[in-house]
Amino acid sequence: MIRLLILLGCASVLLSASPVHGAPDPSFEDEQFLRRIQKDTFRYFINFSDPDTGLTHDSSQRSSPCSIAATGFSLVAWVIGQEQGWISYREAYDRVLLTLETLDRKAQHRNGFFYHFLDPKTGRRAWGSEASSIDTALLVAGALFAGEYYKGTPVEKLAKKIYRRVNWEWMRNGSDLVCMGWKPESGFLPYYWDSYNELMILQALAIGSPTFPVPAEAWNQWNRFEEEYNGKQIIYSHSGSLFTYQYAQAFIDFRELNDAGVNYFENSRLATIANREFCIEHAEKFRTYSQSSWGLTASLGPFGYKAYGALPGQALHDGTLAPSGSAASIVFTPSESIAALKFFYSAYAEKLYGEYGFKDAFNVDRDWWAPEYLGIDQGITVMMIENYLTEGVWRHFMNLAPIQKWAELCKLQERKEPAPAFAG
Amino acid sequence: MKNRRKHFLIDRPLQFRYMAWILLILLTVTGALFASLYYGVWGQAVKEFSDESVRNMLSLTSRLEDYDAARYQTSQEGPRLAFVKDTERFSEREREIIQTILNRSHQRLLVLILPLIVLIGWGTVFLSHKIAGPIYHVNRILRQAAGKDLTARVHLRKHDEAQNLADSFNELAGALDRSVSRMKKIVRDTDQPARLKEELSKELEQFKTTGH
Repeated sequence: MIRLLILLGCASVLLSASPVHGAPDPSFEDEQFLRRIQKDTFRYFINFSDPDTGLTHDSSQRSSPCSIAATGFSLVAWVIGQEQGWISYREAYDRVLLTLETLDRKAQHRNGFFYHFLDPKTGRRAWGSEASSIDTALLVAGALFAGEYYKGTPVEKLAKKIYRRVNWEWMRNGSDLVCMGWKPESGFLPYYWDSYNELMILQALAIGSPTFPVPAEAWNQWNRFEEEYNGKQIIYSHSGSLFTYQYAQAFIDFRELNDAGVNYFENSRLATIANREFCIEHAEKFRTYSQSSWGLTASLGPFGYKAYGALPGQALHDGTLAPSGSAASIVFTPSESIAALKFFYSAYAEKLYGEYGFKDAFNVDRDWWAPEYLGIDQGITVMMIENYLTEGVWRHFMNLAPIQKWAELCKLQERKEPAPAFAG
Repeated sequence: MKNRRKHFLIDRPLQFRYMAWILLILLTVTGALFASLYYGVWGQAVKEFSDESVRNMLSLTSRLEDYDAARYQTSQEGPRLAFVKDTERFSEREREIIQTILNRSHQRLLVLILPLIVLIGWGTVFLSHKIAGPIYHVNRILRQAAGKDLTARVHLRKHDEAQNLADSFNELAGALDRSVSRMKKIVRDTDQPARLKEELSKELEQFKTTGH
């Protein structure tokens, strides 16, 4: 802890000069600091992934079921852990293979769509959950990433098999959009992915599917609601939660992709800045918020899990912040994100930092500190720090044929102006 | 009824012994199944529905409902509907747990049934062999004797049933053997027909027969 505080002190000098946009390479101290957080956060997957099935628990709470989205993130985390030398090649590979074998043979699914929550030991549907389209997309994205990384091995074969099994067309239920889920008891849910949010990863995989593709026209069917906030024109998600601007971009590198003049990386950057400004604007009302304390995203809170967010959007907030919100925005706002993480650590480490990195959320105004960690928030933190430091997830994921097919079919043009150069 | 049974316990030690064997096997099988079911189901139920687990389950119920509310933006539905949904999810989870407990218990039963089947199989073979073995052996010796071999004797294992029967048969065979041997000797050693007839008649008169 003392070593980390010394690193914090050294790094803060460099941070003060960092611009919001086009930040320089991270300093050695910053990198060490980020790697430390990433490593601690990564350890969640070691302790909360079932040794017999590889499935990852939704949270560190006792008896928590496994979440397929968290499991998808774990497949990326194992590779990062291996690359950083935190676990051996053999361990990483075996864990990935075990997870994919479970998904292939044991995990309950409907037309390739896995149930949102699974029993850690049996892989059977748990808690009456739905066969979830977005969570399956995040899981499949993780599997394909691992397949690309371990190219030419059984991991690649299994990842492709699991992806090919997903019947995206079925999940459209005859509509132009993809349904959010399906339950054996009641059929398709009455909700569809109809406007901007994390749906882009789902759309990319569905359009790029070699077996059950949805037509490329589906890409233009969802709404892109725009609103201005503090002079920034933003295509926003309904909740205004940071995670909606992050999840798809943990896998897809949108820096060079333009969608009819819209660059979603730039859009996420603006939305993140807006999120921070929103917190600063409400700092008088909530002591939790400040220049270095921001990041409204869906997280645990004093009154349960809420889709906290900022303007533009629904902007539900009560002074609760999740460190994963600012951490996973590090590719969009490196200086601000690093400053926030350092602040969280230096000010609240005792209550907020634990064995697996930052706990899920906190609220200074109510003196509330989350006692636990959420798998998806751990995963997005590990992945985005990696993208910031090495672009490692993007590099492998963008090589995938289905992603290239999706970009081509949806006519995502190369961006003309240079992308923000934030990492080495 | 001519052949109606009047006495069910005609050989008490033998019958009691068999009753004890059968009861022992049945009690072992039933006891094992009962203990497995009772402790399997009840033990797991106690664990899954402990105060801590139920608290945990309630907390997770509420968490998962929050997830849905956040994703589907249904948080404006009001506390009453939220309570109904919580209850539905909680009962669904309870059903899942009970189903899991039953599935696990059935799996354990299947594992337990294998050695029980072996035990029953072994018991059946053991018991039947204690009777069938001697019957088979006695039958074979009787056929040998029917083929005029009076040297045949029944030799049973120490704990085989029908030791009395074997002893009686051996006594009969011994008596016949001795008598026939004597008659053979008379025929061989007696030259005078009158004396031969007398000696043989004396020997044969000892037998009760249906013919004269």
